[in-house]
Amino acid sequence: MRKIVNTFLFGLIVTCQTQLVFASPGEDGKIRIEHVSPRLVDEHFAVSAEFVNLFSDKIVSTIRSGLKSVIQIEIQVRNDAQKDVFHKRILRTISFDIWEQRYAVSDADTTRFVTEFSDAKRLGGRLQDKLLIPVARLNQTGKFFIRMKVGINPISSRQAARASDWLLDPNQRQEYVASENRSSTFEINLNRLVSFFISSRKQSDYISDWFVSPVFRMSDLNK
Amino acid sequence: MKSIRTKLIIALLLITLFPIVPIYYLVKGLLQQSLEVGYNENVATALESASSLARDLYGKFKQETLSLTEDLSARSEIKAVFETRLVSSGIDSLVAKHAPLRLDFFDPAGALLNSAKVGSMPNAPQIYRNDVDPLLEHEKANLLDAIGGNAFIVAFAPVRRGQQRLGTLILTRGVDETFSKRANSVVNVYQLFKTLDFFGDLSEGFLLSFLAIYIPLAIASVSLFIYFSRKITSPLLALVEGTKVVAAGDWSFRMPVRSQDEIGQLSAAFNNMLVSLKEKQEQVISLEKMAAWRELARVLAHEIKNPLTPIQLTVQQMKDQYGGEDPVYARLIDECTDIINDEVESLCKLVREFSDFARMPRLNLSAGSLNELIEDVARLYASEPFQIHLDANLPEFNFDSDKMRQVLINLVQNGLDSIREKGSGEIQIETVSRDRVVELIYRDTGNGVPDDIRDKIFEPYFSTKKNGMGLGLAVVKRIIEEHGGTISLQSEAAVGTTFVLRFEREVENRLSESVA
Repeated sequence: MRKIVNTFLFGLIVTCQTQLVFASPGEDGKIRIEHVSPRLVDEHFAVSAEFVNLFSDKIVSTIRSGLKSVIQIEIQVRNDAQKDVFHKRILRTISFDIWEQRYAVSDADTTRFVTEFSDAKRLGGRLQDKLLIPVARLNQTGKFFIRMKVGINPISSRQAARASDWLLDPNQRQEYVASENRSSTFEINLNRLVSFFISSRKQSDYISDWFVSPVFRMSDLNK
Repeated sequence: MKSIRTKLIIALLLITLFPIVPIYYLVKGLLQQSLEVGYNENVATALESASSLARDLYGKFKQETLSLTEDLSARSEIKAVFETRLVSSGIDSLVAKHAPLRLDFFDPAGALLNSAKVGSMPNAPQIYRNDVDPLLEHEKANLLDAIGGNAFIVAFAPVRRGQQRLGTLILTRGVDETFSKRANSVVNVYQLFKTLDFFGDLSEGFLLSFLAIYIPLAIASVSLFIYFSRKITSPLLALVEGTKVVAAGDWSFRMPVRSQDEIGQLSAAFNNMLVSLKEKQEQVISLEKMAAWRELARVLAHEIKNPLTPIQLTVQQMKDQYGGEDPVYARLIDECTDIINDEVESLCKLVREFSDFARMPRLNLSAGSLNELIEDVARLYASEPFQIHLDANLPEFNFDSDKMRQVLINLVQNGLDSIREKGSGEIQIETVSRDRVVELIYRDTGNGVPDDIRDKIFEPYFSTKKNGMGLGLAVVKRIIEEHGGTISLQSEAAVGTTFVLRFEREVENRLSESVA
């Protein structure tokens, strides 16, 4: 009996995994990081980079619908012993005000408004001499390299929850969408379960692979 | 060979899992169809168009508001407000058809001179000094950055008289509430559509959710079924083991009866069957023994009886032919002849007894009263301590009166022998009618039957008496059984003996038909 149950569970897991493998995205239009260039700016170690394919047509269309996208940039500076000497995560949002017809690109402390998407793309899709760490804190003779990864999340978790709720109950009034107060615990858990399965793809589709720069010394860098 | 439990579990697994495949494809097809109705390219395009339309309308409204602000900044009524700081009643009629709106009048330094509100704008945003300061140097009318979403449009225009700047007019205009709600609704739904683009295959998502719920439920139901199948099949397995034990010769095995359901009834029936089989087995053994004894008796009777007549004749001839005159020898011959004759007579009696036991005479059944037969026998023993208690309602039934008489006499004679041996006591015979059963209960207060010989007293040629041939109770038992009845013994040494003879009237009737 135990053997039968084990066989059944094994088959089920294999089936589910097969479904997930087939659902994974292809390589076309994969987000890439290019032209990574470390520099010394104002006694700081800074880096510039361009993100290719960050704004696919689908992402642009989504942004233009008024939804806010979040760009997440992970930067690691490692020494030749593969040890992190610096780690920074930069969050950048890009949104479009459909009524004012303008884009807003926000970093941690600044928001810039532009009316053309090409400008918004330029602002959001690159790092320009981003100051990372004072040079004095780094070993001047040591060898370093940069690891960088970028991803864009076009759908916030709240928006995903709204969409899941809407799928499960399309007739609900807009103001109640994503409001958990109206639901029983069972409904909430059911919604979360369904939401988990139908929105589980979005994480992996829009993240680049790790970019790894060649090894450099601080003394080699241009000012 | 699979056990019934395994078969049950396999059956349940098939019942539980087999529908998954058709259900999977059915639900997937239905889901896809259902989703395609509302979630398709046409609807997405329509929503995008509606969203664009809403944006365009809003843009047009903004342009209208900007133009209105420009126009107003050139009107003398507006300029008068900057100069007099008073809002005349003419302002209302000037902007009434564009209501709801609010006009804020700021002097060249950015101080609020006055405000005029036309129509209701309960949630209209306030214009603060820091909003105005950047506008003071603007030479042209323009829209202010959105304040408060798309519910209000704010525009400003410099107001001049000639080259002199009188101040800045700021117009806050409420967007039609219905339009605003509808536009927001369209945009919301459009955004939801765009969100769905980033989800996986929706139908697969729903199906995986379905499986995530279904599989634990299926496992729970299979577990429950295993539990119940064990509960159901355990007694059956015990029954199988029991039959093996019984087959190995242990007739004392009994199934525990733990419930009143079919399994409990089966266990009880199995136990009853064992009891019945045990009784039948004992009967068969008894019959086989009896048959063997009868055969032995028949052979003995035949072998003994044949030489007896020649012996008698020879002895008589020897006696008759003696012509001598020796009186002593003649007397000796007489005495010897008498002894031989007596012994031969004894042997003849023995042979008759053997013959009676060995013969299997057919019963001569006829309807009669057992009470009357008992009374007849009692009269034979009128001088003995013999009491009878007869059930007046005892029905007549079919029995062989001669054989039954022999039964009574054998029992009574045994009882009297026991009483005499003990020195005192009495005999009672009672009849009882119970439903379809007639009972004859014999009791004596003789020596009783010791425990160690209780199982042997119905066997032929077993006797505790010096001169007994051990056939009395064997004959009794044979006659009772030939009548389809039973005899049971309850005895206690030195206290007495009780025999219960039971006759089922239906059996008697069947016997009667069989004999006929």
